[in-house]
Amino acid sequence: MDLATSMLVAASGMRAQSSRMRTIAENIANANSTAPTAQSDPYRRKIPTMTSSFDRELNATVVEAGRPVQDSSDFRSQYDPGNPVADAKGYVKLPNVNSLVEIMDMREAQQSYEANVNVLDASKTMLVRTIDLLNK
Amino acid sequence: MDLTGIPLLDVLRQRMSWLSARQSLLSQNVANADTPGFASRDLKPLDFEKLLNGSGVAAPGLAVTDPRHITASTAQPTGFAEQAGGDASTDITGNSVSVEEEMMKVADTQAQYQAATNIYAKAISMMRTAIDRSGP
Repeated sequence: MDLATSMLVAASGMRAQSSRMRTIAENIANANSTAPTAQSDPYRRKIPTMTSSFDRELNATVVEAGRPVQDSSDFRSQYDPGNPVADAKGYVKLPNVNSLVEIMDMREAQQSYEANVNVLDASKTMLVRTIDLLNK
Repeated sequence: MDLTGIPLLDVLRQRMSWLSARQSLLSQNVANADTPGFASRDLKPLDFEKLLNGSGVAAPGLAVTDPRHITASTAQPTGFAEQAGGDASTDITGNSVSVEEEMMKVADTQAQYQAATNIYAKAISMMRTAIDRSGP
């Protein structure tokens, strides 16, 4: 049943994109989270990953969201001596999240999600047309 | 005689199963539009001449030893040959899916499927006209 398969594949794409969206939301929400103490590190940005895998049951290549990996780039630092978690020189370590990058990533996820919804819709219409042949 | 024995309906049936197989491949492409290293795929176009000559029909039914036997049709959707998707761009991660082109192919497949189902319905209604005068 190819049309049902294609709907399930599109659903796997939607699932992967929403999981990616969740990682991006975590990043954006924690964009300004400082560490609890001056010695420890603040929130580290997560990078969402995607892998394709062959589903034997569907006989199709579906997509899965992989484990998010940590971004190992340097933390931002801001001069804020009044902050309780500032170091001896008065700098506060902030997460390595760039909101501009996150917003672009979010748009991309949104677009891919919409593409999957369109495929799902097209497959559904085709399936319905086939069933409609019974009415003729 | 079963319905697949009627050449017009059989050609349409094959056309429809080709289109739904293609839709399944396209949905895999769209779902994996953000997977690194994924290459887009498509189906080879149906050979219309082969289809007309009947050599595209690879469905031998059960042998009958008496003309009054009903042939059990083993008509399975035949495997369709795949080819590379031929999308224009490959991005830095080695992914060669262009969502725009895939969406165009999806819309095209959907329209062709609609055409096929409409012709199917028309063929059936013409047959019904031939059987009795009170067509639909």
